[in-house]
Amino acid sequence: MKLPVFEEIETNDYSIGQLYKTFKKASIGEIPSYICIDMDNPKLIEEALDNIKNALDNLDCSKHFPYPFYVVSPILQDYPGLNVVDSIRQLPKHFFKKPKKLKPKEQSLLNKTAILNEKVKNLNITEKLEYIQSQKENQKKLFLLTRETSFYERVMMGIRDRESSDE
Amino acid sequence: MNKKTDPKKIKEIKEIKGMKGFEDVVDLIDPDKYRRRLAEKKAFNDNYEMYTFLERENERLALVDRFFANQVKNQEAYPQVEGLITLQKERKELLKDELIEMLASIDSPLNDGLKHMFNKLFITGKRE
Repeated sequence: MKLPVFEEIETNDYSIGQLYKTFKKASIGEIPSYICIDMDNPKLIEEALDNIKNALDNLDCSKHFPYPFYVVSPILQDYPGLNVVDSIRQLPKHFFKKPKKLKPKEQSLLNKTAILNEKVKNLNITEKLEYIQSQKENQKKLFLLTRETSFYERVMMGIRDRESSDE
Repeated sequence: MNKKTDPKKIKEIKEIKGMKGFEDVVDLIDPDKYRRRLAEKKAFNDNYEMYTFLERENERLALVDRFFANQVKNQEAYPQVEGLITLQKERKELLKDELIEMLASIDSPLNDGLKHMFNKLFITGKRE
């Protein structure tokens, strides 16, 4: 397994077919990676982002686990479904390391990383994330209900304390 | 000219990062030895950096695995949210009824407060 440090994916062609091939070759998801979009036209950037998202969906690749995939675009940062940042400096520093020849202890740690990586990849993360999204509404409902009951309990406790202190 | 007091060497030393403030004693330092020491120190620290990074990475992946393989899986298999929502709704209704009963009584803090506000707003008795 390669060291899990950031790798830039370089491409000039943002068509869905070419992106699919490039992403498959670059083993997206097995190492943290990012792609820079240097275009000026927001419409073209949006088209490129649509193609990137579709290519990732076709590869059945999670954009977050086990390793994240980022799009660097100084112009358009708001795009649902992809992690978009405006510069390389905003990428997580944890994955920026200088690759070097590993010592035996480091190599054995890397072997363990490879095993854990495979374990996470086999978990069908996309389905799990969709399940978490579907539970969002119910969890919010439960939170609001508990907050309301907690408020009523505090008011009643306040009234009882006041009554007992008056006595 | 002595190697240590050679102006070229002094200029070289001054350009090394971290030597700011040591201009007065710069002629006492051997730049090659200093550079070697810096390189050795960096190499020593680098070893721990990669090891720590890989350890942290393994911890992160283990946590991700535990979250999706155990915690989310348990939640999917034994969902509790619907039952908890029903319980909370029932409890809310009971608490509301109890609270209204408490506040509706004549000597309740709510009625005391309203009485106090009413008396302040409306002047009782005639002005002379």
